[in-house]
Amino acid sequence: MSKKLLTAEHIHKHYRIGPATLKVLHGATLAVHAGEFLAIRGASGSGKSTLLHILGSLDSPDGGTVVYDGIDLFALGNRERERLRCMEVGFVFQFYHLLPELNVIENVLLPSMIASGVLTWPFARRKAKDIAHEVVARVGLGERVSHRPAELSGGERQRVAIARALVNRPKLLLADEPTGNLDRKTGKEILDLLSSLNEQGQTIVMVTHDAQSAGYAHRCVNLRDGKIEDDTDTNVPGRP
Amino acid sequence: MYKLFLTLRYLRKRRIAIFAVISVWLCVAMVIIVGSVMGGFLDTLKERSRGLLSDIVVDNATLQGFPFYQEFIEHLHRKLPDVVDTATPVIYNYGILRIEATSFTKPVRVVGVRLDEYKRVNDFGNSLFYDKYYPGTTSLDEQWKPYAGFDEHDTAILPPDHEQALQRFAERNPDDEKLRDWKRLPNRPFEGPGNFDVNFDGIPGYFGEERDKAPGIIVGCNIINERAPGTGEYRRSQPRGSKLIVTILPLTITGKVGIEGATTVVTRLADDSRTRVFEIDDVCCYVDFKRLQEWLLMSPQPLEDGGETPARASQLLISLKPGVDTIEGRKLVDAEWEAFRASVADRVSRLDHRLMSFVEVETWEERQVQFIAAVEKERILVTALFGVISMVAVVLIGCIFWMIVVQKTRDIGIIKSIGASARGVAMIFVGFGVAVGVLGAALGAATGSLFVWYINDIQDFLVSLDPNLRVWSPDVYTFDSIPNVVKVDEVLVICLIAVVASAIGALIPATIAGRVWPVKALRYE
Ligand SMILES: Nc1ncnc2c1ncn2[C@@H]1O[C@H](COP(=O)(O)OP(=O)(O)OP(=O)(O)O)[C@@H](O)[C@H]1O
Ligand SMILES: [Mg+2]
Repeated sequence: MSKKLLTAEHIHKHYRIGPATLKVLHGATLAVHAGEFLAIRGASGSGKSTLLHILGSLDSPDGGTVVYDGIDLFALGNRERERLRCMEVGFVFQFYHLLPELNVIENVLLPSMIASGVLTWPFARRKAKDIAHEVVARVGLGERVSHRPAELSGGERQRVAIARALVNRPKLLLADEPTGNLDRKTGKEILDLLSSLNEQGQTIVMVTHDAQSAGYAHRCVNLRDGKIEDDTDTNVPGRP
Repeated sequence: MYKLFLTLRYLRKRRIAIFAVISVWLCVAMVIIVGSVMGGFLDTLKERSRGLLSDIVVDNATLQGFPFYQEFIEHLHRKLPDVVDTATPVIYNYGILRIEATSFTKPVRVVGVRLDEYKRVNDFGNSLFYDKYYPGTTSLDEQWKPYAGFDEHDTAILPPDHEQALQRFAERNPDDEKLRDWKRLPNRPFEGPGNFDVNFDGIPGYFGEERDKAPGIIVGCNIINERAPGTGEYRRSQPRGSKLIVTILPLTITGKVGIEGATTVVTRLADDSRTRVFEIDDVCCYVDFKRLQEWLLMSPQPLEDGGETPARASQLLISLKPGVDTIEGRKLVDAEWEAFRASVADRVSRLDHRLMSFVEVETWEERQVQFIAAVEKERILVTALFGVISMVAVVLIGCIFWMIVVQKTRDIGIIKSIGASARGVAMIFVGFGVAVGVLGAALGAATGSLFVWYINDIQDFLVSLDPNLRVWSPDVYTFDSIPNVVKVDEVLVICLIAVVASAIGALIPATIAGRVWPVKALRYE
């Protein structure tokens, strides 16, 4: 059994809408191994995005713990959590979420800028730019660096989002339905890209609702009624 | 790093920022304009009140005046040598001025002054026109009309004393506008400063014959001069030395018109005075103190039972030694007046005693207190009103930033989700606010200052379109031009407030937005 990179235990999350409470997660438990490609499946509205956001510390759970690399995410101070979001975890959103005012390379550079101060940036800039260009090339957009998001197709935007998630070389890549808004062919390209990244050692957790996409993963779990079921190692990766 | 980068990018890409800049701009300009004009108004008013009067005014508010003024002056110099600098008596009365050549008449306030002393207690000397260009030629003594003559090249020249005085002025003021633009040409009348009658006898260097001497009079420049529309320059229609006839009404000590009735005297135009206070320049004319005293029968008059009445004056103007506090000086002079009054009590008639009991000692500020207080209140009121308007602007800026932040909520979520801190996010928008504030304040300071500097030209332009557009009327506002001084320190403070207000306007929504969990901002629709 390989090392556990991330473990989530008994995650609870509910939303209060007026007098009613919508229980989205109640007791979801999950472990992510270093180097694996894990898919989380579930019906629309089952709370997949909610869970993934909590795993990436973009949202706080109402109960339960998330331990990343031995650190309890929600026991951390704001500052450490911000560092973690910036350096350790890359997030790819369902709806791309690029900054419309920035072009491709600027969007991809943003996490490096956040990681660097005003004073250190002039020194870090060259290297950060090289990395950004390399990552953009890796996702196949080497020719489009100065385009704005509005000038790109959905698939291309998702590639930019992936490049942005990867630029600080995070250990964990969280992808929320990266193919949800794409046609079959483009979706397949994105999945191929994720697979190849995984083959190079990237740990990936991907949320999806279709079986086809889930097939790309080594392991697949189901989210139903706010719990993870069927957490079986049917497809354990061969790597340590 | 991303903070600076995103601030600059948002400034370039958000068109709504322009509205924020414009509202800061307009507010800053507005406050500068109002503050400068009202402040300038008040400052000029104060400065001129002091310039017109003197540090301390001793006055009994009647037309008959009060006696023993000269003894009191000597008493003051003896008792308060370190406090009182100059003390000079003044007589006020009313009369009718007629220009002999035109039979134009006008009611005037006739002021009797000892010119050299009067110039020392206040700024009167600086208000004189001929005394400026021809220093030393203005006097209230007997004089005749100075004529311009011609030299051997048929070029107009003035009598030697005038030419020498003008020469002295020109040497001291090499870049005076009037002299710079003026060239003497042959066969032309005298076209230099002022108006001089010409002698046509054709003998070079002949300036006419001295005849018909009469005492000098200095008239307020609005009384007989006309202002050129546009430039506002005075046109001196009467040549220097023209005959002006003054009719005055001597009063007895009890305030009745004397048995002789009105007195008419012939004077010669010695100079004109422009204090820039309309009410003074429009009515006051100045003659020699001693002569006016005699004309008004305020000089010693024989009594039926032998002896004579003491001479009287309307007012004493006192200037204090440098460094003496005005209020302190007033207290000392007041105490001396009481002491002096007691010391002469036994030789004063009942009527004189009454006149002396009306005397009050005041500082120039106390004397103008109602007027100054009214303007001061007006300024506070206007400043408060504009403060409220500026608050509206601050709220407006706050709203604009709120909108910007709301529009950018999703972006805030994105930036936070890739690791930006709450403070960092707030800083982006604070930077944005500061940039908007600095830009708006700079534009506002520039336009506000320009507007104030050129406010009189703007008014002249409006008046040239339609005379009804005159907003600043000299007879209402006492000044003949709108104050146009911009105080740098005030402008800096206003700009600073604008920048801080913009920063705060941006800080509040940005801080609130920066605090939420990234997902909440991301899910914001
Ligand atoms: N801020 C919120 N307030 C109230 N309800 C919320 C909020 N965020 C999510 N929900 C609800 O929580 C449930 C789970 O949402 P979530 O986005 O996690 O679903 P999902 O599984 O990702 O769905 P999809 O496949 O459509 O993306 C939904 O019913 C949604 O309406
Ligand atoms: Mg979802």
